[in-house]
Amino acid sequence: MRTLLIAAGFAALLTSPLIAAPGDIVATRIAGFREVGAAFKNINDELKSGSPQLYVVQISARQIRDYARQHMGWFPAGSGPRPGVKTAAKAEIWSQAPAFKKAQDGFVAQANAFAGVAGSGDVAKMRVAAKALGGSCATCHRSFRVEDKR
Amino acid sequence: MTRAPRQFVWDLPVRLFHWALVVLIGFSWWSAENYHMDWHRLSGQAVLFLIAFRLIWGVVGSDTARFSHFLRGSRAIRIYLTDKQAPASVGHNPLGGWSVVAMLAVLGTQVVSGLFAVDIDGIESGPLSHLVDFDQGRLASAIHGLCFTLLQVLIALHVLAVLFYLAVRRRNLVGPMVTGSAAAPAPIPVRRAGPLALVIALSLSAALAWWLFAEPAL
Repeated sequence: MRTLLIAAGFAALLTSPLIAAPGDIVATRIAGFREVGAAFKNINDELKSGSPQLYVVQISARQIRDYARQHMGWFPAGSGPRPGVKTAAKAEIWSQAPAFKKAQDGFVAQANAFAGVAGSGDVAKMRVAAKALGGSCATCHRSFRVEDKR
Repeated sequence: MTRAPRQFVWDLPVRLFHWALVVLIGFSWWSAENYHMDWHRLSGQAVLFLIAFRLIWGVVGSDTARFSHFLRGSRAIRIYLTDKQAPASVGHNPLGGWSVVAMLAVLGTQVVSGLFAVDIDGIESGPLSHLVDFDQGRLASAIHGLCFTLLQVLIALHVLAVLFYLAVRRRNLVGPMVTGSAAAPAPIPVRRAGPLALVIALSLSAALAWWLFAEPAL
């Protein structure tokens, strides 16, 4: 009986974040994508310079790679647009789940690739890979995010 | 046969400035809406060049281009608005002169905010965005967007005023902006700027436009 209670207690502890998730996960992913944007700005600022600071590119590349891994868990069912929640996530994320998953995988792949290229120190290759990484953002955002170009 | 007397109104630089701006504002809008941000930046650089040129030309240009000529006090504006018999001024009317200032101020804010703007994904940015952080760049971007709405309002007012002149006052303002002159029974002499002023204004504004968009040496 006691074991059962403890197990139930653990189960409750483990699932409570999931139950509390929808509200919090929206804030989590907004904050997370903001960090991705800020990190990508650092990369692009460096790469447009004639003499980029490679360590800035490398640190930012690792940040983006890590956020790309995390972002697979940022869109649980029920965290879409509904009254009272401010989110740019479109309902298509869940209604066209396979296409969205493909776009997410594309982001992870490009983020991994870019982190690899950033580590190599080859600036010309970084510029090409940064374009591809930006492309993976844009592909997903144009289909699955309410666009605000400002 | 004698030619009908013509009143000189706008010199060629002012006219080229005006119509180039019309084209570039349209192109900037279109390129931003369609994700052609390389073109959008080039277009912004050209607009920056034009505004810098116009500001300098407002000091060294022909009389009708000069701020000192067309910026009038509240009394002149009142007379212009109330006295229908008052002689029409050559160039900007007392109210129109201030609308030029408003347009230049909004366009200036538009271009400067664009220099620092950063898009939401940190992908596209203005040429000076490396001088600000992400949040400041996002703020610049918000200003860029708001300012464009303001610019659209000013342009709409401008076009309405031109149409008002055409329909109610029976005066064509577009013609002089194309040909540079208007029919007038007794033309008033207008001092025109020489080539030296033009060369100085062009080189200063071109240097500024090149420098602000040059590759940053971080």
